[in-house]
Amino acid sequence: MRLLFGEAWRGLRSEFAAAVLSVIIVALALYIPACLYLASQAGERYSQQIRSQVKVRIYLKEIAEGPFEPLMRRVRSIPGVRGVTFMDRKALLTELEAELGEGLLAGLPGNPLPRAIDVEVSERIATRVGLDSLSGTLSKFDEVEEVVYGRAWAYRADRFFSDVRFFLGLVTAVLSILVLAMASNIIRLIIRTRRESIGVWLLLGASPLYARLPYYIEGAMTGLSGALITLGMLYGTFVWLRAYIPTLEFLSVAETFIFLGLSIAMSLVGAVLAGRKQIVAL
Amino acid sequence: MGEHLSEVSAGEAAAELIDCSFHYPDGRKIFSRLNWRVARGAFAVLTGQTGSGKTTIIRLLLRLLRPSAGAIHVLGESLAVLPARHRPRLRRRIGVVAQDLSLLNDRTVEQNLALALAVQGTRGKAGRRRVAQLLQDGQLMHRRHDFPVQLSGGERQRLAVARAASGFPDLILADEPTAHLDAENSASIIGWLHRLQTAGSSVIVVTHSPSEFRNVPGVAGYSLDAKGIRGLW
Repeated sequence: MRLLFGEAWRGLRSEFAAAVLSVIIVALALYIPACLYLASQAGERYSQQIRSQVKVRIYLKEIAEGPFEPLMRRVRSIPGVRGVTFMDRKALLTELEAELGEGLLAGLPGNPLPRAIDVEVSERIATRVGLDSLSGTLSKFDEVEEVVYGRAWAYRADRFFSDVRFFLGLVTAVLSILVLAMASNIIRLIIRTRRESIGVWLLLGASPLYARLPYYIEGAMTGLSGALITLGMLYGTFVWLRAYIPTLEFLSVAETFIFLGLSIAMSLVGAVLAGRKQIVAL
Repeated sequence: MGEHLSEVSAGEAAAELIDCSFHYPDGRKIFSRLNWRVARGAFAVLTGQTGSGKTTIIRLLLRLLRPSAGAIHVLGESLAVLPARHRPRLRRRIGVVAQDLSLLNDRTVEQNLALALAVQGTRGKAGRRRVAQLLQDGQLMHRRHDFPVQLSGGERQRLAVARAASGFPDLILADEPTAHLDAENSASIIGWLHRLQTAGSSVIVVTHSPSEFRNVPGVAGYSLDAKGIRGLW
């Protein structure tokens, strides 16, 4: 192993400037999707905060008579429902007056508002699909006149985060190819420089795979170095922006290892592509 | 041509050329219908004029080149049908002293030997022991931390032979192993090759100076020319 790592280091040293340049380009290529990932995670957390405040209101039919505890129990038993609160006509009127002002309702003969139940939902179903499904279930109850919730908001939020995820995936895919190509190119360059040495390895009886191993290690080292630089830059960006974006959090330990693993894997694939083509049996 | 079939002995062949022809893609002919057989455990010295194809034969035996016609057998393997994935295994049984020596100039003497052993699967303590033995055999112990470019011609040749001998090969192919050496260094290299033959390796040397090998016991001399390979002694 020491021999293979030694050869890998010799290779990188033989094309040191090009290797450093490719590490920098890899770092920059990784930095962009990493930043987008942090931003999207911050956005998701912000969205969750809003979703946790989402309320569904059930307006009850005029003919429905109390007590409403059995209905409330049924609503509470629906998966994703966190809590229910009965709202009598007076409470609803007070709420409406607080919103619109007392003067606007002064001319009305009585309280026109129907009784209602406010339903608190978990973040899990506070999505467009989840709320539509809950609304459908609630509408089937005999006592229910109308189910009201922020459908437009839920739709827009879902659409926005779906678009963000798609964009993030696209950018990551494009930049992954760039990382792969950079690693592949630097390894190809190093292999050309070390052609004589590789020839000796093969002459001594090394299998092509064994002769390629140092260059695979070089590819992995390029990816790892680039990823470590990216993590440093990303942490700097995080420290700078966390005062402005309260929901911004740095990568977790697991995410950090996944990031490092993916970076190494992408560079390794680049190195394998270059090595397989350049180092063949004599 | 082809009527000359030279044999060192009637035993199993270490290397055998059968009706072997070689010409370059541009049509330049090197030799035609060559037959030559070197038995296992033999020491054969092949000489010939520049351009006669001596080095080509070494390269053909290593399967670095393919013959235009004919068959080649090395250590019981037919090179024409030997799959590419099995060539490294065959090469690990062959020690090579190339004309340009093919030493790795960015590795020390010790590292050059360790690499050859590592490729053959001898690593760790066993590898270090073998390196020490080779350094001693090649009188290179005091130069073990030096790089090949820092060595004298004789020392470089001895390093190349030490590397070729590192894995106790069944066959040693040496291309001009005594070129540009003084009498003392030549004698040292020849003596070492002879010891390797005595230890069980077959040895094939191509050289411009066959007379240097004439007095070595058990060595058979051959000459390569347009008519084929002829026995000299």
